Formats: sequence, structure tokens, C-alpha cells
Amino acid sequence: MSHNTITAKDLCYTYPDNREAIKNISFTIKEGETVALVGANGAGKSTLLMHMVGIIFPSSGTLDIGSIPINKSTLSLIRQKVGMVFQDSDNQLFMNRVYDDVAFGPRNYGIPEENIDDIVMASLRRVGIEHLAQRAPYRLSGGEKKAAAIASVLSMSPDILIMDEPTTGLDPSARRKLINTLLSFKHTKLIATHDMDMVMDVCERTIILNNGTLAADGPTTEIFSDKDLLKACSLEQPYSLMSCSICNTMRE
Amino acid sequence: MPNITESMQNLRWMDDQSEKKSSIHNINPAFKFIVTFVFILIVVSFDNYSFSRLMPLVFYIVIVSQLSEVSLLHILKLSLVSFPLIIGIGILNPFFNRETAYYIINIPISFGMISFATLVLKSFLSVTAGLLLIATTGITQLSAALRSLYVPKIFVIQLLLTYRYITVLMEEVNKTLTARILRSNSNKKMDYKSFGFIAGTILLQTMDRSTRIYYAMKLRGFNGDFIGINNKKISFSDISFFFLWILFFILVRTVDIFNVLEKFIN
Repeated sequence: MSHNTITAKDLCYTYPDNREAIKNISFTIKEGETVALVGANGAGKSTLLMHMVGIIFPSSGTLDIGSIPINKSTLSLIRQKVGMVFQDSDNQLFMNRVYDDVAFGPRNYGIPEENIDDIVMASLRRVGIEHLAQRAPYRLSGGEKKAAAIASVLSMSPDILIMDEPTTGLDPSARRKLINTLLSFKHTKLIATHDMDMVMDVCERTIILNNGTLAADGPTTEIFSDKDLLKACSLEQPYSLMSCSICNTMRE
Repeated sequence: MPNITESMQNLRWMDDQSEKKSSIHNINPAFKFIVTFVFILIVVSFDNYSFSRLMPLVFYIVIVSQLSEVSLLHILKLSLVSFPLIIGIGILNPFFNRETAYYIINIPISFGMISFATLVLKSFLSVTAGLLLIATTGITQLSAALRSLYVPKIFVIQLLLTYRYITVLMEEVNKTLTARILRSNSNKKMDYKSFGFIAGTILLQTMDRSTRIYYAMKLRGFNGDFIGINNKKISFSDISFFFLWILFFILVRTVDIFNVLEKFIN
């Protein structure tokens, strides 16, 4: 079995206030696949992502990364294999310099100090912000912060990338840059988002969550052409699939 | 919210200063911490009437700020934060202890006035020394230095997260109070009921954000140790810095320098 797969089996999670956030979800994400996780607000997307890195654990069911089950004893290994990019980059960048933020993970995992510089600069180069290494994170623009947050995860050489609404708050140019960056990654990726057009560009497969249940799982183009399904899940087709509101013809 | 914005800028100013390159910034953080700690111990060890004996210690503040290229004026401005507390503690001294100690140009100086001035000077010296330590070291390096001095992990994490929490708290307070002002119809006073709700909301918001920051640290392998941050080898300049200042502090503590100089001149 490949090491870079995600397998959820009958996954359930109930919050301490007895609210059921995830109800019996099962799916497998194969190595190198890019999968979108979409759903209305409160559908359970962020809760599911938190399971992937062991911030919370399932009430019942199992979640495996490759052949490793996620539990308290495997956390260190799992967190090295799975990199998570938070929705709000400000929460992810807590050091004084971008360089130290990117070096934070490798240092904690005991990478020798003489190798840190190469790792940090390579990570920054991959997202195109090596010139920002010495800058304070709070001085960066939204797009630069997002790139720095991704670099801080890449520096740990994860096999799997988990992203929570990566395009939120980005201007069109920063969003396009991020999409191109994501397309260049060969990692297994799970992206929770409301940006349906980004899903069309980046993800070949889409999982829809609706009130904590798995409403649909299949090829993105197939899922997004089912208007009734999207409506039932409080979603909309991406603009690129909608007909033009002026001449009523389909966009190219 | 100019006050909160200004405080946030001041914290960021401290972080920016810590990234400068100077002879003081290059000193091993553990040595800087010990020197500052001994400095503060020496300052507080003087009695309430030792104003003139404390004066030579100003030399340390001036020299360190000059060598580190950290604006002494700005540090002094920041240290004013503690003054209301000090004035609250010592303002009554001149009224309670009116016995004249000596005259300066026919103006009687009472023991109460001297003890108040000593208290203010002690506060100024201790606070500026602490601020200079953070401005020339940075909170991360300082935390790493504390760990290298075998300060328990729990205290160091507490210090680091508290420092980070201040920024988070200020950001959340700023956002919430701005939202209130925009809907308060120019009514600057906050009633008790609103205050309760707003304070509660801010607390919950900051807890939520702090938890996320802590998760971000944990997800990248943080367990309270600062690997690779404080791995600087001890150099000759570290040892010189340490011994010269410690000797100077001992000299100031044991010898009344002004008195000796006065006798020498006479």
C-alpha cells in the first residue's frame, strides 16, 4: 500500500456539546490525487481537516495515512507526513522573520543546523518568495503571507498537503499565483474551499459534505454539472460552468 | 483605537530591533540574560535613600543602548508605562517623611523626596534593562536562552506564549472596540452590560486564536524546546561582556563611586 494515501472508514465525530459534526464518512484519497472538499458553512469541512493532523480524534471509525492509523502514539510521524495550511495565515506565522517561521518545523524535527538554510531557501523558492526571507510576517501582503505559510509547511517535506480555504482573502493576482503553485505540487492534496473555480482548475476529484455526511464523491466536472445536487447542498456551480448572464451562451 | 494601535506598533518595534546586527545583538542571549538579571538584582538591593549610588548604573543603560543602536529615547518612552504604578506607590513619601536630608542651593531636600526619587530611578533602571534585553535579543532567542539555563520548560513556554498572546489580545480588542465604536452613535462611554459582553467576546476570540497558533506550533513539531535557535558557540566577546559588566556592578554595589571621586578631587 502506498504511504501517501488517506483512508477514512465510518468516521464519526461528536463535539462535547453533543453536536454531531461528522457522520459515518468513508473515502480513500490515492497518492498524488488532488481532492476538493466542499460544502456549506458548518458542513464539517474544517472538523474533518482537523482529524487529518490529529488535532481532534474520531469518536468512532478510523482514519489512516498510508498504513499508519492516526492516534496519539503516531502523532509525531503523522504531523511530519501531513502538512496543514491554515485558513488564516496570521495564525501560522508566529516568528519574527519569515525565515525563522519556515525553519521552525525542520529545527523541531532535529534537522542539523547546517542543512536548515538550504531547506528554508528551497521552500521559499518553490513558492516564489525567497526575497522575503528576512521580512517580518506582519509586514507581508495577504498573498505573500499565504505563500510563506505554505513554505513553512513545505520545509517539513510533507507527503500530503491539507489546506483550509487557501484562496480566501486573496486578490485575483495572488489567487492565480497560488493556483499555479498548487498545480506545480506533486503531493497528495486535500483542499477545503468555497472557491469553486479554483476547484475546477486544481482538483480532479471533489467530495461534498452536507451537514456532516458525505453527499457526493466523484470527478469534479461530473459533480459540478449536477445542479440539483449542488443546490441541495447549498452550493453553486463555478462561474466557468455557468452560462453568460448577458448573451445566455455557455462560457468557453 | 490609537492607544492599542500604538501599543501594537511598540511591540513590533521591539521585534524589529531584535533583528538588528550589532555587537550587543551578537552576544550570546544566555549571557545577556544573566547580566540583565544581575543588574536588576543589584538595582533592587540598594536601600531607599541610595539615589546617588544608583546613578553609575545609568552608564550600563546608555552604553548598551548606544552599542546596540537601539534608540534610548524610544526605550525611555516605553518605560514610562510603569511610571503611574511607581508614582502611585511613592508619591506620598515626600509628605510622610519631611525630615531634611540636605540643601541644594538653599532648597531643603527631605528624606521622603530622596526615597521617592530612588524608587523612580530603580523602576527606570529595571524596566529599561528588561526592555533593552528583549530589544537586543528577541523573545524567541530569550526563551531559548532560558531553556539553555535549565529554566523549566513550562515557565519558558508560558513566557513565550504570553508574549505572543499580548499581540493576539490587542488585535482582537482593537477589532471588537472598532466594531463597537462604529455602532455606538458617538457614545464613547460603555455601559456595564455592554462591557461584560464585549470582555467575554474578546476573551473567547483570543482563546480561539491562541489555540490555533498553538496548534500551528504543535503541527510543526514544537514540544517546548528551541532546537537550533541558541546554538551559538561562546566567544571571547561573550565572556568579556559578561565579566566586565558583572565586575562593574559589583564595584557599584560595594564602593560609593561618587564619594570616592569627591575625596579624590579634594
